[in-house]
Amino acid sequence: MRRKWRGTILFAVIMVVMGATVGLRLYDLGETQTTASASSTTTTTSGGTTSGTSTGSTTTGDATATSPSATATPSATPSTAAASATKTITGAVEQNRYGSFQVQVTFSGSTITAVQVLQSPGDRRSQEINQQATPILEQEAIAAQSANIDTVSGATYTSESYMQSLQSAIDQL
Amino acid sequence: MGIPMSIDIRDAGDHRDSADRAFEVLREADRRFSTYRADSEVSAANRGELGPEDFSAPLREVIGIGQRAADASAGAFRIRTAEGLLDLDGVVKGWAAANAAAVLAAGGLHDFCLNAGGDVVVSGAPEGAAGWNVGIRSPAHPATMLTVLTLTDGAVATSGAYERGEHIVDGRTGRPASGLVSATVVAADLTTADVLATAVFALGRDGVEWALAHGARGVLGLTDDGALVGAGDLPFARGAA
Repeated sequence: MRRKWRGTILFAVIMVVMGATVGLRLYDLGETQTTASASSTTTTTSGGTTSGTSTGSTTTGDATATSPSATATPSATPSTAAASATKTITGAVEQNRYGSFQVQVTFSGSTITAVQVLQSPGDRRSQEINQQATPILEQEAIAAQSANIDTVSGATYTSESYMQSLQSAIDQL
Repeated sequence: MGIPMSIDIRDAGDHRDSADRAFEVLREADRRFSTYRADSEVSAANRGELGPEDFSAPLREVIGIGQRAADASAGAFRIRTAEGLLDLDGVVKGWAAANAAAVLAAGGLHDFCLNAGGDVVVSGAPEGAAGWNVGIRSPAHPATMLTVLTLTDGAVATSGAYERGEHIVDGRTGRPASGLVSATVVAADLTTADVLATAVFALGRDGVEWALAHGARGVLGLTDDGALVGAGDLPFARGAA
């Protein structure tokens, strides 16, 4: 049982990472939104395609003063000593009902090699994400980019909310 | 059923006839199973006008599916109310939508997506895409997605506190289910996905791994303290490029 739970926690880590990835990759927003909230050194990651990953740029959204050890030394490239460049990207600050939340993800090529929490509700210290299950990322950005969603699993909508839903937009195509 | 349903067919040609036939499957299920229709078979059964021996084959089938899920979940999933009345909502929608999708497939269609009130069946992919991108709705903010999954063949169902949550009871305790505010199940067919999503929600956190042993390919849950947990195969969408 305990081992199972541990597995779940580990998976939660992956979930968060993927959440960040989806947000960043799919919807071209990571950097822009980050600049709004924090950051000084920001380079563009031209969302979507990471195809030309060979630039080797290190992008650290150097989040606010509240995040201390945000020095995510991106040099921690793992085994893949291949030609893949290391890139660190700071996700948008996401608000959820517990507070704000922000992660920093390090890619080696297209592989995620490290994740660090820069802001987390109730705990302002930077922390390794795999120490605990993390709160959800509310990806408002994803909704804003709903054109990339073919359909939605989730609710038995009332007719009223359906009018506002993503699915209704799809139906009008 | 009073729920929105949509069918998106990408095969070349005009397939309105197929779509009409699929919709008819859903309407027929509504006529037979709706507890909101006094003239439905389930309403008649609940008034005591029909005994189990009088039940139609579809009603028996749905009850059988629900009963197996109830047994497998140690009663957390249930198909009867506290008063002993049939409540097949946890089975019917997915079952009917799965049948509707089967009608599309039987008609020779390959690339389609059917959505019945948030229960999704996909086949193939839109032209040029890796699969269908299925957004998993956030329970707290309906316009936002928890994540997006890319699927080619399979089904996705989500049970959430925003949905019929107050009506999903942990049959083991008789009290509203707790632990999860959203449960999403990916499975080969929607009948399985829908039943399991409801069961996972009823079971709470333990349901996430439980479902993998009962036919789920992947399970995604959002806990009531805000953690996203998952198990199995969850094909997250990649970049739009």
